[in-house]
Amino acid sequence: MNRKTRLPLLLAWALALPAMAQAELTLVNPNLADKDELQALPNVGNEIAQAIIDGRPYQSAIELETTLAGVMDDEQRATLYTRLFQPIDLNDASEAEILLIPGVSKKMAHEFLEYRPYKSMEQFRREIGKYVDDDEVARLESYVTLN
Amino acid sequence: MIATLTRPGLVLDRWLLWLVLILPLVWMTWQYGAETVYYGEYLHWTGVQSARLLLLTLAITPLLRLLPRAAAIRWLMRRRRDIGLVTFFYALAHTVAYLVRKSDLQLIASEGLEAGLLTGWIAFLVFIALAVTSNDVSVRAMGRKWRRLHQTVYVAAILTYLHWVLTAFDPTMGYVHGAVAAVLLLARLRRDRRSATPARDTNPG
Repeated sequence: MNRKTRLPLLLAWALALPAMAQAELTLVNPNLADKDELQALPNVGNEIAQAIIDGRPYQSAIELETTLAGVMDDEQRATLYTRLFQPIDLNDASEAEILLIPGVSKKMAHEFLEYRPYKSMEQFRREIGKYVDDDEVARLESYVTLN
Repeated sequence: MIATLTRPGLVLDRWLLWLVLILPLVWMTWQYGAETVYYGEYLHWTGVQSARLLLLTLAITPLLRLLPRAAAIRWLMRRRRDIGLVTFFYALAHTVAYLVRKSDLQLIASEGLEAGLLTGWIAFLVFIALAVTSNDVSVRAMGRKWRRLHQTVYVAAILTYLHWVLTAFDPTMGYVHGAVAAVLLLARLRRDRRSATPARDTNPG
């Protein structure tokens, strides 16, 4: 995802925000979801659902991104990631991987990296909670793990 | 009442001022050491408090000109050097926390070349010079040079607020504090220009 595409994607994400607010925070796991679950997601038809299944197992969000980049455009992927995502490891993920989280700007990705190492999810909540409200922290938390 | 304190009273009020201003820093540092306050929280808090105390230090002279008879302002004027020193300790804690966290000279050097951190480093170097000379011995030894050196606090202030604006996730509060500092600096420059202009003789006799 380059600079030129990031702005429209952030815009698309902002437009999708009201729908996301109503959606559940739990994301569909690309390694575990069956075909029907996948096809219920936005922009996912039979072909894309099959591509996701064929690309398993996903070790990182980048691997999922690589698989989907061949079958979906940037905007479709950004929308899909509001419902389906391979959670990233807070202490290991690259900046490119963090930037795949919908709505995460370069500035926010820098903050994610700045407070490493994370020893607990509480640390993540409080460090990132300095910049965004509780709902946004909870949303971001659903995209990350701590191994 | 504050203005009429006797000598022992002055010593006591100085200690009290130090205690009141430095205790929050000691408490936060202890919490940080105990890991109940996280790095980003500590860095943010020490930075903001230091910038606010700096603003207070800069505001004392203009406030005294506005309210020359206010006892509280005159008391602050007498304690201005102490407030400046406390400000330095907050900035020092902020810097040490950053250095300890990074613990990598190469990384510190490369980050230090970015505008956001470079402004902070230059401001901190100025603050070191000001803190080291904030004592009666230096005032006597340096004479007029002392005043000139301590006027660089305005340069350090501008750099401090630039550092805030350039490094903050949301720079709004940095802009607000910077704007107040700019007004104080302009008031100071205006006053200096007025005193540099020879007054017209209105008393021919």
